[in-house]
Amino acid sequence: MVILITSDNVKYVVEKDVAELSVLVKNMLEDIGPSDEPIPLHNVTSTVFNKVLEYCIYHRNDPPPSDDDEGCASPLHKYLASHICSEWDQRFFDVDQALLFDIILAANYLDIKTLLDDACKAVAHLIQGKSTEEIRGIFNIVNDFTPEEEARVKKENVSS
Amino acid sequence: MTNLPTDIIRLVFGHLNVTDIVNLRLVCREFYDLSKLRSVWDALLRKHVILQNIPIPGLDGKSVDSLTALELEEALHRALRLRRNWTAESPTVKRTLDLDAIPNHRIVALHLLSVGKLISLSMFYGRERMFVVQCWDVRPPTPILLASKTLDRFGGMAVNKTGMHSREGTLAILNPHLEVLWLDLDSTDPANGFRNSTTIQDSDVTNGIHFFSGSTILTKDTHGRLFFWDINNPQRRAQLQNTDLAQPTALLDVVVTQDFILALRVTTLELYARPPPSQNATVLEPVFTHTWPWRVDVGTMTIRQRPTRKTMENTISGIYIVMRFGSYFPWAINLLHHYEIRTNPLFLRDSPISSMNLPYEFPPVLRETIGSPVRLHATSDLAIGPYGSAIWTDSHTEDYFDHADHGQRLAGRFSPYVLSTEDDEEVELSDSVATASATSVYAYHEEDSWVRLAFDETEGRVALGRDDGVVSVLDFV
Repeated sequence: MVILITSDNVKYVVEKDVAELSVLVKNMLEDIGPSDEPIPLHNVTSTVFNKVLEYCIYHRNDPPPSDDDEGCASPLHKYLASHICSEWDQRFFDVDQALLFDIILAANYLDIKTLLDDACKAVAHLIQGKSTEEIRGIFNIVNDFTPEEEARVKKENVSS
Repeated sequence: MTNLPTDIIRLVFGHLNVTDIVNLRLVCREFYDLSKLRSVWDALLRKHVILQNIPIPGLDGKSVDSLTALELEEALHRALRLRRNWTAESPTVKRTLDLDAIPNHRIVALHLLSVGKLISLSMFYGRERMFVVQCWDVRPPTPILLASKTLDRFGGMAVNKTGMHSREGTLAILNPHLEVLWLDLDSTDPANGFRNSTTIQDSDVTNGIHFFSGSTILTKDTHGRLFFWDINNPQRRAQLQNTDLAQPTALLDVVVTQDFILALRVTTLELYARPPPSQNATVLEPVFTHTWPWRVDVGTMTIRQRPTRKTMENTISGIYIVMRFGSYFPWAINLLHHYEIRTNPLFLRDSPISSMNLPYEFPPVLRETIGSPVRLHATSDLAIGPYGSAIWTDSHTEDYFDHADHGQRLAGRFSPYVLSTEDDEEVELSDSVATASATSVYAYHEEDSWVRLAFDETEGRVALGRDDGVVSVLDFV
């Protein structure tokens, strides 16, 4: 068992194999050696960590991601991996944007590659097939181009 | 989303396609800047083009790694545009170029080289036997004649497969001695464009040149015997000899790698192991011979191009053959045969090639037969590309003209090679042979004047040589 403490001082007792899905935690455990010392997670709140933990417990038995994703996976495998998130994953990422972005930041900080990748896919999914105006609406982004710049960028796009 | 670190936005970009990136670019300045990052386009080009085994035209000899962000973006658009056009049912010819003909000549050989170079060989059809070899730069805007040389005792020619910048020269010709020519791009006068680097006076043993790559060459003597040798070491020759055959038949095409020589002959397909340079072999016997069911009329081979991956360096690729069999009658069969030679998964790369250790599985597998009618006495030619296209000229023109007694079409079939599975084995195709027809018709005309064909699949470029000496260059990008 590993003891983790989030930034808002909530204590979690987690099985070692689940905790070690985070490369950050894994490295820290290796550094401190066998000890019951709790590990502080400075950049993650308990709200976000609940989600991260849910993901890690569900995916604890997944094969580890390969470094070379162009590697040797079969075309079918690759197709499934890139196109069909499991229903569970879909529901998992069906959260408000702020939380989704917090999950991304937490996954980045904790160094959980699969979660980071899946969460980025979820964000990409929000963008896919949307027009520029729709993307601005979804993410509440202000168009900060001057009219001249915008015209120039549009022209660049057309010529490509 | 704009609060996310740049690294993470780039990860998100990695899951998007080109259209999405182009839409994102207009959202705000930050996304615009991110969409101009080299890493974004490098990843997109790899994902959507290189790993999909789609060729990139217009690189002009530059490597992908040397391109800027903007060049990568343009390369990606060009590659996808070419693929869309090339595989359409009626691809659009984006540019046609007719090169000036030499009067009273007909084209007898045509080669497209890298970086927009074209080599043509034309023959004077008067009483004397005279040939002219020319090199053109056919890139836009206007064609430039770089070199032209008249050959009055011509006996054979081969273009260096290593490319025109090969140190060893661009062309090997027999006139009547073996001459190695290189292209002098600084020459202002085409008459001096070809420069002679080596002349080997050995007319006794040379009666044709089948292959030239780097400094290795495959020549034929007056008895039809084939010799494989190095132009820097003309004394040491290895004869390719198949003692199983009563007499050697004509060689149609040859594929040479570091390790082996694969020879496509009219009656056989022969694989020879290349001896190590230290070994002074004078006779090479094939380690495998496949006998064709009929005589081959015309045929060509290519090593298949595969997506470049770091894990797959130094592995061998499959070989594809397209050919037309002859018949017992003096005309050819109205079908093209598309064969595949698959790699042998049990091949031990570190051991020498032998009949017990073959790099390929024999016999070749017939992938498909393609309907391609040729009228009696009509000429047809064919070419194959490493990315999956075979193109040919034939007489199937009834669809365009109301008559069927003359006319030619340039047709092609694109069958993308099956992407590899986990252990890099080909997905098993059905054992039954598919009967297929052309997937695209690239051009047609109401004449029978096309006699030669050259194909550069990477550039989406086809050259057609006519019996009146004109060469037409068609660009599909």
